[in-house]
Amino acid sequence: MRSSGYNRYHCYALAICVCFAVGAALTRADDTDHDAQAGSSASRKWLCSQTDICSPETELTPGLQYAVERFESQRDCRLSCGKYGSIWPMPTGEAGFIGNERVRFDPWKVRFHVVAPGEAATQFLRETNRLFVSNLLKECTRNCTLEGSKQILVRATVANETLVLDWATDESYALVVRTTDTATFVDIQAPTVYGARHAFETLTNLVTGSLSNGLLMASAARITDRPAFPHRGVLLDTSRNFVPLKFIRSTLDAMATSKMNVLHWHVVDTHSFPLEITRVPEMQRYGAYSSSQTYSRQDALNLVKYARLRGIRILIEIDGPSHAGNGWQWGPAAGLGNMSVCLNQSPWRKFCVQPPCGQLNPLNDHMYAVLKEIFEDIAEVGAPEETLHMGGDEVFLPCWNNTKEIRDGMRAQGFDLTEESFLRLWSQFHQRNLNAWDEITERMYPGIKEPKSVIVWSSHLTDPKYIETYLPKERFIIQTWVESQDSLNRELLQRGYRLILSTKNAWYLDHGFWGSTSYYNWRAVYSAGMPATQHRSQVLGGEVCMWSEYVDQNSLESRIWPRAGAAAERLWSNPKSSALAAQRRFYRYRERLLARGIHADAVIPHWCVLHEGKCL
Amino acid sequence: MKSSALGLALLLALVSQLTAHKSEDLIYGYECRSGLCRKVELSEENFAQAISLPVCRLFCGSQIGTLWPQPTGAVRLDTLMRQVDISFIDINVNATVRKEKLWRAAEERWMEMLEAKIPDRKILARGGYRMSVNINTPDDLALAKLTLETDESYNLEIDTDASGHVLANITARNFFGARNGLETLAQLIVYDDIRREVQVTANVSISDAPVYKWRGLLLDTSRNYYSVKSIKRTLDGMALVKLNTFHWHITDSHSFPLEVRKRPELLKLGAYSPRQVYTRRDVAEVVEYGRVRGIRVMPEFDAPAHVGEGWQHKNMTACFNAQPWKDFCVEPPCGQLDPTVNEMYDVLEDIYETMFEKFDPDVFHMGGDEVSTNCWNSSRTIRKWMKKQGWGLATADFMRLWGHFQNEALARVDKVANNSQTPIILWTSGLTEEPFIDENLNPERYIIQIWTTGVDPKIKKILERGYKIIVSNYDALYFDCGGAGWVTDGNNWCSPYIGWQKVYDNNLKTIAGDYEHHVLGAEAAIWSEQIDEHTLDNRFWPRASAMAERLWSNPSTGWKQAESRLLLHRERLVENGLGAEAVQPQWCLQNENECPIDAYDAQA
Repeated sequence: MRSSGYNRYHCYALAICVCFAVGAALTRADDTDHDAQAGSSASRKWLCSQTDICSPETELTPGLQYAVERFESQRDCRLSCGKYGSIWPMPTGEAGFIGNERVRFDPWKVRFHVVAPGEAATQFLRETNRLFVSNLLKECTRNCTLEGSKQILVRATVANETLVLDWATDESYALVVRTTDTATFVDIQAPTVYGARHAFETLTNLVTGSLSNGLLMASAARITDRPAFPHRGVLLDTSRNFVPLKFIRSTLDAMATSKMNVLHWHVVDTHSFPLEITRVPEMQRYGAYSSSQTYSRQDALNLVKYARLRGIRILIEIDGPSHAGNGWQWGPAAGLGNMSVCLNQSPWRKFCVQPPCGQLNPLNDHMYAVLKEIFEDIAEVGAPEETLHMGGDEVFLPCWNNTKEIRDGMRAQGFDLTEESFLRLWSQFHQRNLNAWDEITERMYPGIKEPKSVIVWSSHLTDPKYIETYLPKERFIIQTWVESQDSLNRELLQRGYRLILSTKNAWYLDHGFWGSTSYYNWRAVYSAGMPATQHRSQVLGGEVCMWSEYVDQNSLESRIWPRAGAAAERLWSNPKSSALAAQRRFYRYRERLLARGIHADAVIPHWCVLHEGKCL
Repeated sequence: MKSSALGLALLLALVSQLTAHKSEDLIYGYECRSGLCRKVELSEENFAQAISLPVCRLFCGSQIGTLWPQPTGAVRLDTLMRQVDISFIDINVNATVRKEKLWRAAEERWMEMLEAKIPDRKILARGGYRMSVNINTPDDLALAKLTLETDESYNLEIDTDASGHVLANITARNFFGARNGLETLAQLIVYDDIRREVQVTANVSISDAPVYKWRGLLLDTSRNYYSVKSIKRTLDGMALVKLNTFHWHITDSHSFPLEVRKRPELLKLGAYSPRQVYTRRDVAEVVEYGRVRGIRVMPEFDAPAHVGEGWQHKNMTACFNAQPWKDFCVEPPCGQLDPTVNEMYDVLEDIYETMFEKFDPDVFHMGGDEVSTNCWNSSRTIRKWMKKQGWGLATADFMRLWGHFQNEALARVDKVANNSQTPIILWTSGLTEEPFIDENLNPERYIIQIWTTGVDPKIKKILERGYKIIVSNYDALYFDCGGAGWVTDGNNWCSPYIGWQKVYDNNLKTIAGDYEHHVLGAEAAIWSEQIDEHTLDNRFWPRASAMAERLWSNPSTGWKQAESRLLLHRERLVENGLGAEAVQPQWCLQNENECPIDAYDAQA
């Protein structure tokens, strides 16, 4: 049975080969030898099966039903094969539609018309158009200029003039493409500029390079879309190893490609303090690995701007009281006392969970004053509505407990040295910083009415038993980093806390390269479930985490991408379907990342990309 | 409006340059204290004594400085650095040899390596001593070709004359030894970021020779394609650590990117696209690029399994792209040559011909792994042919068919190689097991490349028959291990990821036992199912360096003793344009011995 099917397959392929050979011979006549190869593959048409598989006509699988349309290439076929074509992440609206016809066009000849209330929003959309064209150009396989290109007229209408980007921002959009004898019309409608930029991103997913000049676009489509979660993030640690700006920008580019909207910048840690704080230049001076491995204030401002245009917030984390050290060592010389304790102490196992050790000194008022100055800088760098991540993870109580200055200070303030006292001291640290943050926000941005909530990591302090004593739910959002089977998320949701999930055994991208951790393939990243509860609105979203102990710019991109894209679809679409159903779109998405200059990891031999359904 | 903006930009550039000159840029320097380089805050008082990290590490607490791989002979490094004027370095080779293109290319590369050490030419301190590099090799005009007989050893002496002029003398038997000496010399030249000058260790004597003669990397360019540029970059990295064999697994079932002169259709049908190919000119370029770097570029033509794409319409393959693939091969797409088709051997001969013509291999790899008897059994013509020979269809019969293929194919190799009796490498497989190995493979002719685990008892069986072996035990040297599975869910078959420590400690003596003298060396492999040129560098480096030291030096110590030197060596790789993976936070590089978990146990 198997072998007869196999033989039939061969006969079928052979029959088609005859015309294939003739086609190749015809092209050879007027082409160079080298081009004849391209010519021969060009003459092969691709078909889309009912089961969402694109195959060349020479390799059709017997028994499968194919649509009648013949496409010039696999990518052309993929544009409309399957319900979601090549769109990543998959749109969430009902009644989406992508047509099988194509329009061939020259990306330089796309005309834009933007309708938005307010100069700022209009300006934003003009920039969006520019980025859109530059992304289109990256899809070009050959010469993209095309004589007699069809007119593409894009009209983008944004209802609201706001440029505020936070958890309440409406990122939805509607996109319609239709083609008449004279032109192709693209109509984009969105409540905010951010929705509109996502629409443009989707529009690039309706386009692919052509085997001849110009680009191909689905000539008719109708898509409505909105994200399932408002917080779709990537955490990037630039302290354990320094990451040059260029690679932070490339991370933002890839995030924009994936409609992710929060770069959680874990900019400092115990290891190094590369960020310039204009009010306290000592931080960077003492804390950077070297004078060239730094981010100036201007760098940070530019990054925030760069990210905004791509629909991305930059959320800066100043981790404390733990994970702080280098950069803080100048206190004694400046007459400010020890602002950090156990700094760079050895043997490190006695004082922290990984070298180098360091924890802020919660009994030193100067430390709080410096921290407040740091917060002021951060508030100025970020957008007015942006908040702060205060860290708060992995406080190592023996560090404090092994430091005489702390023990004495605590006793003087009437604390005993029980665990409970240390937790209280720790929570006071957060409360005091929150007050400082509130004071800064009120002064700097009087227009903002509500005090901003801040974010802290799950820790000893967020134990459901006593979180309510230490961290009021109105003010603290908890970023949990427990494993998927842990009950913490459920318990915190029940207590009314808002959460950001960084499920450790799926979304910690550094795992699999050290200790006994294991690697999470893109399907595992994709399948990480979001809690389905009545508290769904308390789940803001999630973040994949790129801790940088074992990566720097040389392996950063391949470690994050394309896996973070799998999380992007989880957070944008929260699909019920499996990773298996997404695989062909995912492979196309990876190629899009490559085209945009991101060195994404290869997930499969190229042969399997070309021969769909043959590597299962 | 435009011009004023330009003026402002210029002014800004000037200002930023000025600030870059301020000495307060540097906060930290290093001091050697009880054998460890300690990071210290720079001040007026200590500025004169403080040294930069690479200089400190050259002398502090180590007899071999920062050399990687460590030399195997006597090493004397005196604590004397001399500033050299990089514009006044001359390299002198015996006059006749000098004219050779090979030498000129090697010199050029060496000077580029020195240039790469200087972060900013504009702030480089002026002055310094002249330096002469004198290379003494016998004046042999024969074409320099690396073989299993090549003596790669060298001696390096550095001294200064009365005028302070630095003299480096390299003595070697041939180009390859001398080139290794140059490589070591380059590692003794460092950039001091405190004084902003290039310095050389000025009083040195080193004698050095490799322990193993086969020190290789394997790259699979069929599962995914790699540009010539990325292959050359890999060769650059190999040269830095004195690896000498690039094993090019150029084709497989997935794609056939090699241009074969007499059979252009193989490339045309088999390449992923017309651009993802290696023309014969590309191959010649890679081979020469390797030779300049002391590397043999050895081709593999894997057969009879691991073929497929490119062979369409010839009726010379069985089970090509058969489904369900699990029944016919280990990964899709399936494909095996049909050993019963005589014309197939003519095609093989033409492939071998191109390979011998372009690579001029001193050792040739014929593949020979993972043959599936099911695949051959699925072909009616094969079954018919076997019946005609009076054979059955049992496993032993298919092994006989495989033996038949190997003998016929070898005859074609010998034909194109003019019966030069080129040694042949085969992978461990069913054919290298009893009794088939004795029936088919002459131990005088065949070298076996081991890819089982290092503790597999099969290794001893091969060794005791007298075969020479090359070790690629997958549990330490398959660098594609770890990461996602692609035909299975979960992680790939040989997970987890192999850390550099395991690579470093992969001792060939332990693997070969009493037969160590039969071990030619080892190769680390990148199989490319899930790797392409975007992630090539971080997969090979710095792990390939860890293996390089194991093979060149075979130190009696383990990874712990090498760790801090490796961190610094990794920076050297990056400096030379390789995207090597970070192995630790940079803090651990700057704070020697503070990160190992047991660093203080001895004192406790």
